[in-house]
Amino acid sequence: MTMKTRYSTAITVVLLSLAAILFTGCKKSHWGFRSRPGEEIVFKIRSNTGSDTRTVYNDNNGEYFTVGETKYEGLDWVDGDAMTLAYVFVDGGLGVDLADYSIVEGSVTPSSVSDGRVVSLGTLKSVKPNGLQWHDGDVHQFYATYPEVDYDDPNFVFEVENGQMNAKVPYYYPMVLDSANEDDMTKDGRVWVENMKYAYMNSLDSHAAPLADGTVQLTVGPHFTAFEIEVRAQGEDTIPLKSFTLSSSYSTDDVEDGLIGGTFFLNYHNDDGDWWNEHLEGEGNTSNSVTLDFSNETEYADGGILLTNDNPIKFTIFTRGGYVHYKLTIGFDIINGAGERVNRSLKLAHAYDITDELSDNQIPWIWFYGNRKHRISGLELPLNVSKLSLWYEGQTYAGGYINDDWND
Amino acid sequence: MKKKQFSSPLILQEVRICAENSFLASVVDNLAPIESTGQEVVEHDFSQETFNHNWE
Repeated sequence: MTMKTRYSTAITVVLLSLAAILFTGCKKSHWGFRSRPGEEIVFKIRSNTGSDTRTVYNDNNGEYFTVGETKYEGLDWVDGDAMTLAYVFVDGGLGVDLADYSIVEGSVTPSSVSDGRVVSLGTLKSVKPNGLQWHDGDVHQFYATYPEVDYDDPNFVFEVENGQMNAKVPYYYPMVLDSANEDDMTKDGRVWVENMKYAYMNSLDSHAAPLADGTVQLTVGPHFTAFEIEVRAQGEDTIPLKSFTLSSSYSTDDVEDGLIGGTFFLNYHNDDGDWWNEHLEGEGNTSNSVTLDFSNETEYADGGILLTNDNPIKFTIFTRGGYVHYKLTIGFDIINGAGERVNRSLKLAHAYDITDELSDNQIPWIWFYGNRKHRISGLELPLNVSKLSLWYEGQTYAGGYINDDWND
Repeated sequence: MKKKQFSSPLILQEVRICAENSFLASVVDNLAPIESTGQEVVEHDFSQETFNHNWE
């Protein structure tokens, strides 16, 4: 190899390396995707940030936050919380840019009541060097979804086609949770709370436009339904608990489909510059029940939790959010007094006369509305049961439970 | 042949895109602190006799 050839090869290597750096650097820092009329843009490329911080509940030390007669728990930001912002614009054509932002360390203001709302504040910064950038044009709409979107999810779509934008953000509410798996549940003593990565939130406004001073104010609220359930054993019983199942029952007369777990899509459409979102729509693998499995716990020798009256457990699980309502049945998979594995279930309904033998549609179900946190307390699980009607204040209630040995 | 690779339109295009991104003005850095609203709590006390305790 001549000196001239070696020199040429060296230059070649340097330039190739430089080109590779520029090429890679551009791909990583290139956030903007601009559409042209009729041109389709599909964002399915970038991986998520791997953020592992999540919002936390703030119950105001058990005093709740109150606005009028309504009680709230705060959802406080946590340093590093990451979310995805969408910026819709018309700049030669309808377009959308996406970028991940995170909560600046030390910037969080815990929840408090302000102007008749419960609000936690956090300052945002772009996760990558290049954040969202202004476009020309009169349309500027912003939308936030939390946690950050997994861009590798093949179900995630943000596209512009024929002047219309369609977005589908997948939300996954687990159908089976393992109480002993830290990725599913966090545990503190005998209290379990589902991983807050499933505590989805998104913009409450259909869109947020810049204020007069150019600032953009984003407000997000819960798009998940929480059930906090406390249960203890009745009387002197000690009950091995293997699992808990929350089931939504429904009939063809209901508007809602009763699905509470699995994969749903929050669909957004854009028409003439206006946003609106639709209910979460289930697709594919969905279910009308969610199970919390305690069988990997070790309190019970064969796997499970031991329930007594003075040692209750409390757990919080999340289900599909949105403007939905459910009628629910809870079920406990236990070992009864005869050593048999049985299911104890309870329809979550208001009192009614069981002698009427009401059909499912006639039972006075308690309606559980979406996006709220339902605290279910006072449950005492019987080891053995048989039905019993109670006469109470002139009415026969479906109610009461007695130990089988009381029947002897 | 290698010299042709350096001057390929693909590489030049990427350099142009990179420069465009780096010097775009008016970065959206004026986001107000983002608000997280609370979650409404509804209490259901099943120890009260007005509720159905019909375990099955």
